[in-house]
Amino acid sequence: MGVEVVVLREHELLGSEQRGLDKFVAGLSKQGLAARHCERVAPERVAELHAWLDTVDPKSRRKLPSKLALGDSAAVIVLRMEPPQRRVAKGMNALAVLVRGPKAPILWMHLDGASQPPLGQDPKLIAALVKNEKGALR
Amino acid sequence: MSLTDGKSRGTSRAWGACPLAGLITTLWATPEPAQAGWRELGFVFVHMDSSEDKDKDARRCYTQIRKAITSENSDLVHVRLARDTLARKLGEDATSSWLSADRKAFEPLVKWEPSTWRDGAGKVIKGGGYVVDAWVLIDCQPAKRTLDIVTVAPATGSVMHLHLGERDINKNSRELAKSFVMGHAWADWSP
Repeated sequence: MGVEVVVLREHELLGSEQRGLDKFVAGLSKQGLAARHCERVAPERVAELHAWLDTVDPKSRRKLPSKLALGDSAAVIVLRMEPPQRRVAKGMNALAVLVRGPKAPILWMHLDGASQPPLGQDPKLIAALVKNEKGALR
Repeated sequence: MSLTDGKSRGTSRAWGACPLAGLITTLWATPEPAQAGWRELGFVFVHMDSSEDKDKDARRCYTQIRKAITSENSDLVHVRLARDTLARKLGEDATSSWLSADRKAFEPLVKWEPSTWRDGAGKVIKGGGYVVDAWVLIDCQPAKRTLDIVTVAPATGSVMHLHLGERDINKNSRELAKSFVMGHAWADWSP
């Protein structure tokens, strides 16, 4: 199962951000998901992914197109990074996990006015969600 | 977390008669020194149940998430509020549109200071002067396979919307939700 990890950002990734991302992708792969960091993303796809992250109203979210957002992948994990301040990473302010099938993300998070550690979540938990493991940690 | 507690200090007259032994007892009995600025993290939980007939599974799921957050963090105190109480603070419009409400809608929550709290075991603590670090509004609907959480952090006025859907709400999804809630509660945290 191919999973793309897309990072929306307006800055060059800091060393700590890149290491965190590599660790997260490796963690997904360890859980049996063929994950890769997708570094070059077409502008139209970027616009669609931003729309997914910015639409707070759940009903409006269900009406958004997902063809470009998903691309050829079985799933896409997209996160948006806050720009660093004085070379200090500020973390992520939005994240969505889209999978083929459902009309809306299976996981969606939007932060307004703060940020939290990027991909600080355990890859095992995200992988179980993507794979839809019914008995996962039940 | 105190430097010494009343019970361990001066409980033995024989030890108390010897200043050096008393000092040793004090140093030995102190498990951990207090740190400047340390304080408990304060949470307010609200069950935003959207089920029409007060679904028992929805209540159970809400309780499981609340307990996962409070019982595993001994340095956390909390308050449980009913949806109606929240509606009185926010207004009915903002409460009913809580899933799409913006930061401004949640502003009335920023300055509220509860007078009665609970510890991790649920025991009531009166007073205490704790601070609200995060409001956690939860609607878990296992039958619909959805979990919605909105957290408001008064210190920054920031708001996090979280949604899980199209998947069974199991321990995995509850753990994920917990990690996002804690991530927001700790954002820019300062004692």
